[in-house]
Amino acid sequence: MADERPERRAAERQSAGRRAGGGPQGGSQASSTAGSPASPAGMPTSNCPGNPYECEFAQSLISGAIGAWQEEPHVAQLRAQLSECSPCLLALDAEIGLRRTLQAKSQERAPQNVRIHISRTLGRISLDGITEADL
Amino acid sequence: MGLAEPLMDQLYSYARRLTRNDSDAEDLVQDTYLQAYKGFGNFAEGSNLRAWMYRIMTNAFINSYRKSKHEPQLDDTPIDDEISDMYFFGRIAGGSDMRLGAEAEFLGSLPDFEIKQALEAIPEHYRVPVLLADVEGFSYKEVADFLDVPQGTVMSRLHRGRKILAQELYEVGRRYGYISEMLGDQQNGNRPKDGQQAAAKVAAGS
Repeated sequence: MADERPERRAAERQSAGRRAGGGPQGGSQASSTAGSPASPAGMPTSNCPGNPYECEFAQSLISGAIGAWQEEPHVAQLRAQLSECSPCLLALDAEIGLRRTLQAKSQERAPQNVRIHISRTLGRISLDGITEADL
Repeated sequence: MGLAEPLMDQLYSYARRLTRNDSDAEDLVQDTYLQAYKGFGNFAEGSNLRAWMYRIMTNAFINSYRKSKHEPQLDDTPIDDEISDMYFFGRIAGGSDMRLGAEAEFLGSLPDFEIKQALEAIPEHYRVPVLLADVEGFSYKEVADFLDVPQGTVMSRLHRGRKILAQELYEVGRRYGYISEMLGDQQNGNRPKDGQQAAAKVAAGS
């Protein structure tokens, strides 16, 4: 069935994860797929056995967090819901840490000749009410 | 130049990973700024300039700079395997949380060029969403908007792209001795030993 496709479920989890920042709403949706209720605070106390890779509740929150990993308040809200599961936090931190590493290690500096060329090119183009300094 | 000037290093980095060579990356950055300047009248003040610039660059690359027109048609069909999540580490470590710390350390200690090569080894079809979501930090919705595809398609491409990246990094880990043959074979019994072959297999959707 199309609705059972993993990527759709993942998209829904991500969406749920975003909502989960609000508390029980996201938690209840995620936990319903896991087959057991979450605590009122949305904590995966009963349905997460401690292995995030075997826990749909944790996966939904981690997937939601890494779907917008640079949005710190969003990640912090989801992280708070995993606070009782240290392996889940470890997995979440590892996932985000990898992305930070990827970002940091793939940085380049734009060559100076490119900067100069762009500045000169834009400076030669006349636009109504817009100057090179506006961009 | 004004607000967009501080974005130039980020955009150049993205362009370099997209095009995989300096010359095309420089041209792509220049084209992006030129298009942005000409279209600046349409930019809504207060909206996200960074996202706007990345969208312009992504479209410019897809329309003009892609060198992969001879690539085989790559798969966008939904993925239905046992690991439906979006984890990197789960794949590299075979799901063992005991390896998480060690892998983070390994990735952090790798030379930059290994990370860049691993990213550039991902076929373009999957590389673009991986770069946007996992390197540049855009949300899935933003990536879908940039690429003008449904979010489910982004998720599918990310899934495959991450799988290829994980395999590339796994191979790097083996070469550097961070992941022993024995540990790798135990934890990844069905993992192909040749990262390139594995990447090709994943890219073909098999």
